[in-house]
Amino acid sequence: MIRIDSVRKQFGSTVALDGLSLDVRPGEIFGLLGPNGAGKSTTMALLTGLQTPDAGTVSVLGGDPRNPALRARIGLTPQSLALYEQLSGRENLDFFARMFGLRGERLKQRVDAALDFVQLADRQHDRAGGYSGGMQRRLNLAAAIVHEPELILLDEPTAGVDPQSRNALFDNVLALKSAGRTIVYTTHYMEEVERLCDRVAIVDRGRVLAVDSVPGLLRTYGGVPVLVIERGGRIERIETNDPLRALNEIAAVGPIDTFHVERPRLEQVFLHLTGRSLRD
Amino acid sequence: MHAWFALAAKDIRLLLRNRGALFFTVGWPMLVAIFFGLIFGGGGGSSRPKVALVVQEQHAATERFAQSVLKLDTLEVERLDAAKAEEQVRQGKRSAAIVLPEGFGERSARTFSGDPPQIELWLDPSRKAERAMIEGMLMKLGGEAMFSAISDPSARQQWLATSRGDLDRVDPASRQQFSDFYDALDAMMATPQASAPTTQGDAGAGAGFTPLAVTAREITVAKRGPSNGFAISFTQGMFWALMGALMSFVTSLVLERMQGTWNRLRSAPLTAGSILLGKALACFAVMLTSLLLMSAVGALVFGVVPHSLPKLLLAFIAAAIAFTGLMMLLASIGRSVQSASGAAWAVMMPLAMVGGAMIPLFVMPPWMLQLSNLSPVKWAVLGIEGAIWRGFSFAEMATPVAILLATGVLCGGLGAWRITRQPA
Repeated sequence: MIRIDSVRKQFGSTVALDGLSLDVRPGEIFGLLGPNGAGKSTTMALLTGLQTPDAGTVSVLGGDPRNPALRARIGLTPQSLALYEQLSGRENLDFFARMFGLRGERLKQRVDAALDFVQLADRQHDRAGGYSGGMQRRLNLAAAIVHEPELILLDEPTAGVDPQSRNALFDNVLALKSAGRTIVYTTHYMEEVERLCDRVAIVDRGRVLAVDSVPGLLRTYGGVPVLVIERGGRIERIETNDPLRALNEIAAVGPIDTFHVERPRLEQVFLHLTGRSLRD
Repeated sequence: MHAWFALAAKDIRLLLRNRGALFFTVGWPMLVAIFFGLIFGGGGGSSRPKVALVVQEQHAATERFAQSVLKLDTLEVERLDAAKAEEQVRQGKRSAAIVLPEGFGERSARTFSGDPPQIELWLDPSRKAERAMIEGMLMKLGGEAMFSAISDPSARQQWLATSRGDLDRVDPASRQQFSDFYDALDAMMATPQASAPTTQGDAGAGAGFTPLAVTAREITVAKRGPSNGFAISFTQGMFWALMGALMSFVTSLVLERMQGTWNRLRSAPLTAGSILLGKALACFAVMLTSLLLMSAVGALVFGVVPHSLPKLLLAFIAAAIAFTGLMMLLASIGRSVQSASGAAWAVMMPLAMVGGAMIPLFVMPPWMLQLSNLSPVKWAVLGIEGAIWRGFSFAEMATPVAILLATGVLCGGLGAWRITRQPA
């Protein structure tokens, strides 16, 4: 579906992508996880033909994404709300659908379907500028899928929305996967990747640091679970691959007041791979 | 093609929903035109054609006819001597001169014998519409004058006496018929029910009979000037209409890039050139519509009637293309709305100042006129003025139109090239 091979992209003296390589399989939700400036948005720009690599190759849906005909099969949700606030929700979708060549009855059907999909049918005639942040995000997603693309690129689609809208967007993304779409999802929210992505690439400084499923990443980079017990007013932390056995052994020695197990989290993996220094 | 129109329709819809931008594109230019038109001495001038009346004899019938011409509410008539009238027609200050020559009054009294009363119309050969309108009005007055002569008892008796006295000048074969007609007319008009004109009466006028004969004398306008202050101020207002649309579209193009819709459009199966062409099409359409609207208001309300409509349309199209190109170039300069609009004002204001959009070209000192050649605003103003009141021929229109088209193509091409090279 997508093959990025040793791509390098530089803006002036800033190296945005430094030999980045990726493979995305059909029908999966592929996460791109990285700190700010890691190269996620540049990768998205390459996948939609908005940028050209300085070196390396990018193949999307078997071709060059700079080919306009091929771009008709891709849907992009940019990181910013790429909407016309003075137009209504319906007018926005109608316009973007026309840009992808939809006409007549099919245009109307697809706009109706996209509005229903993101639950904005009842507000379709209101101006997008009057929508809440969550509604605007949902409309932003609808504009990317109104032409029924095979590949959907979601660049931080949940930035700045409330938990209800975020959950609704998650449901939308999972529904798209169920419908057979391939999705590339960039974010720096760990819980989104854990909940949605089949595989995830952790990128930083224009390079892929690791690619695997979330459990695979946790196994490889997350370290061992930690058994935390409290007895006699003292808290003890025991690293172990078998917390139950360790708990039994400790309980045999003496009484335990409380205990819990801290399992490795994706955030630990992320910080382990990308470091703890602050990014812009 | 469909995408271009969809892009243009979207931008026009956005403009229509942006009250501020709409005001500065349509409302503000109109206010500028009206305000400065009044200052320049437009003074609420009417849209009626200005006409001179020259009376070349002392005769009661002629004077009666002259008074009826002066009372016409469809013309703005001033009584002048022949030399003054001719001069004003030649200078383009008056559309025409109506001349009542020697013998007009005498002929008026002899409706059915000899030649009809003669009227001369002095006007520029290009003023075909005014000629037809004035001739129609004079014929109507001639008919009314004749009816007046036969419906007033004392005037009728005088008219009948003159006519009967002239019977020996009539063809002998028709002499008896005319004599019977005069008797019958006298008897009929003496009855009360015949004292008012009827439509049937008008329609029953004899075939070939004409109450007047109008002959035209061509006076070529040597040097045209603006018909009133609004002719100047509306041209300047048209610049502000172009400027308003230019600023709106500079802002919209920069916003498009800042807000991410540009990237979304670029991810569609469209080339960057197509997207910019759609934007340019919308800008051009808004500019042309604003100019046509201003022109219509100027003509219908303030008497700014263009010398030539096709030439005015040509000037409008060329000016709109030039300003659309400038819009594209200026939009490529700024990376934010503030920087783009700042750059646009910084570039356009000096061009407007030396280009005749603030100080009329005809009052500029020679050095400033030389400098103004560098401003596309000058060529837009000149082209529009050429079609409104300067009386340019198509050959004279060619220079401003060619410069404006070249400006549009060069600036538009350079701007589009710069925008498409900017990173996503």
